Amino acid sequence: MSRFSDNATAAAKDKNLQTALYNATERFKKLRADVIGSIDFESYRKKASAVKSDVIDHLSYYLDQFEKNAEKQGTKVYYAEDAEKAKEIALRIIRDNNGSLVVKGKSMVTEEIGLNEFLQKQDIEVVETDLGEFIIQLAGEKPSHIIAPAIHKTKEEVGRLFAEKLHIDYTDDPVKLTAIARKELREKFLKADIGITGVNFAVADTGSVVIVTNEGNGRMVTTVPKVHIAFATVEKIIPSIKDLSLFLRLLPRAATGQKISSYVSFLTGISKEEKKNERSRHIIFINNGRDAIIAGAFRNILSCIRCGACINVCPVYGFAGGYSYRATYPGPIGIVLTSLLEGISNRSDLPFSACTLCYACQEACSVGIKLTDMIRELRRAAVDRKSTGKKLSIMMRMYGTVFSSPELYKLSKAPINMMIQKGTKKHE
Amino acid sequence: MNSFDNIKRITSEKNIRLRSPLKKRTYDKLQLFIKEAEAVSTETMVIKRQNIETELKKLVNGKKAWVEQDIFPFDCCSTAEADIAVQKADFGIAETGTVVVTSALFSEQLPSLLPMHHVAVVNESDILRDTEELFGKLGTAGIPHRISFITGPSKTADIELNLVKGVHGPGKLTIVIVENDEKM
Ligand code: SF4
Repeated sequence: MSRFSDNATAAAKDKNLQTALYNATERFKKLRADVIGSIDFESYRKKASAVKSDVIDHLSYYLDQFEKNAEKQGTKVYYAEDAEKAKEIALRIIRDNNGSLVVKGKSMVTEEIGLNEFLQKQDIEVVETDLGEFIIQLAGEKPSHIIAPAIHKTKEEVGRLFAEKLHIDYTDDPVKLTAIARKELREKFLKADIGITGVNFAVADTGSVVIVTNEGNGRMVTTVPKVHIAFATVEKIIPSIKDLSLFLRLLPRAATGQKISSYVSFLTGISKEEKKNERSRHIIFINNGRDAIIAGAFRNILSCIRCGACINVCPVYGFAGGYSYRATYPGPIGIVLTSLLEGISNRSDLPFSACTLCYACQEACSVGIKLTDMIRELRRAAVDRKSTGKKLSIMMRMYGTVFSSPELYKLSKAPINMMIQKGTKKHE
Repeated sequence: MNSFDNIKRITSEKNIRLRSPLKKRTYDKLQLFIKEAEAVSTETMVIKRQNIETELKKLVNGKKAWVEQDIFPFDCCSTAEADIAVQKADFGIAETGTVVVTSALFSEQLPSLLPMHHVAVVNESDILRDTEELFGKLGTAGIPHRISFITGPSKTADIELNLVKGVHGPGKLTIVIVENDEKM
């Protein structure tokens, strides 16, 4: 694994990248600043944080409730302990439906588990349909920002890429390039048998999957193909449809400076008539290390709604760009999540080299995650480990918290079983 | 939900009271709806009920159009072939200039998705203040299988942050508001 500081130094020398990063982060910051004041941001994020903490405290309960309500309406619910299991489940659904062409909406969790590569190896065609994702898929790259995946590409680069891969005449006009993508992808939508998306919110009291997009690809992917498979990490749950008013005001404001995104889709099961048409909806809840995070001192990181605000305000991201992190999630949220998911000792340079402790991210976070404090804590843990020679001091810290709570202790004893025993409720 | 969960939820909700961004003062729902819709490049028209057919025909005549049967019969094209589609929306949301299309069938989502121009017809009386009001109306048991909030045209800023409309969905959205019948 190349070091963050080396990657960032290289990035700093790339002129195109520097211009793209500067323009994008400044634009996002301004868009957010213009509109965030139209709500009482402090109360909103406090409330969002309270709702999300409640979800994490009672995750089994809410997962259970979601499952019951979703299945009543005809959605099939699956649980996957890890990435491998999640991919297997998806493959089984695709095979059962004789699927060969998958269209995808933008989803970070499928990046996290490496879904595309896996399906392609099984001879299944996978087409990304978010314009940014489509561009980087053509280029054979990975997203460099969670909201704007192709942030690092100039329009000339996109023009050359389209000319080469789609065999068309060169143009660098964004309007024309978008029209070309529309046409190309429209054909794919109409032919596809399977639609795969992430989830912005999984609503426990209705069993709905909520997806927020601007392009409309999220609606296409969940409307045209007969089968919809949604991937959600367990923390995407929210208790009630009533909580959505809060999150639907926060997320678009923080992410793209909009009062609401162009499209919000609520997908709740499948009607009886549509079942006869062999339509089906599936949701795969993925743990992939979340149980260990819940059991530790950094559990609040799971409140994240992936708005990207912390990334846009981060001065280090602003010159290092997304790739320097060599991780699915870049920026401050990425430093913390990556350290926790991949192990602090494996990525111990991140909390040091990728952060100046300026606190901009903590101030910006839409759900009040103490990002900078967490990064500080990760540093301390790494230093502790060095000076005391204790190998897993960070784990010890976590277990400090764990032992103080019998419920968490139970969780930590049976990490994988959490998903299976999710029926176990608190206080019972 | 058991009592401890309840206690926890009630307490945290009590501590933080959220206000909808809409100010308490009286405001005209229709005016706000139009203002917010136009702010995101939606076109709006307010028409009288008896003029629905004549007004809408002006929009679709001579075009490859799809029109919802109940509005008036218009035999032309499927939603996939049409350049313009006219469909009733169930609600409007004033806070964001949003129209809400609910459905049980997938095909009912296509008019607002496939053609380049989507025309949503909404009754003034179905314009709600905000999502709180909508969710209150919908309840939780047996909510429609699909609910779509549609606000402005489909758009992207993925190429060097240039705003381009009509990526996958319509590049143009028109909301036709049918005025409340005059009160006596
Ligand atoms: S950590 Fe906070 S600011 Fe960063 S993406 Fe998540 S919710 Fe947004």
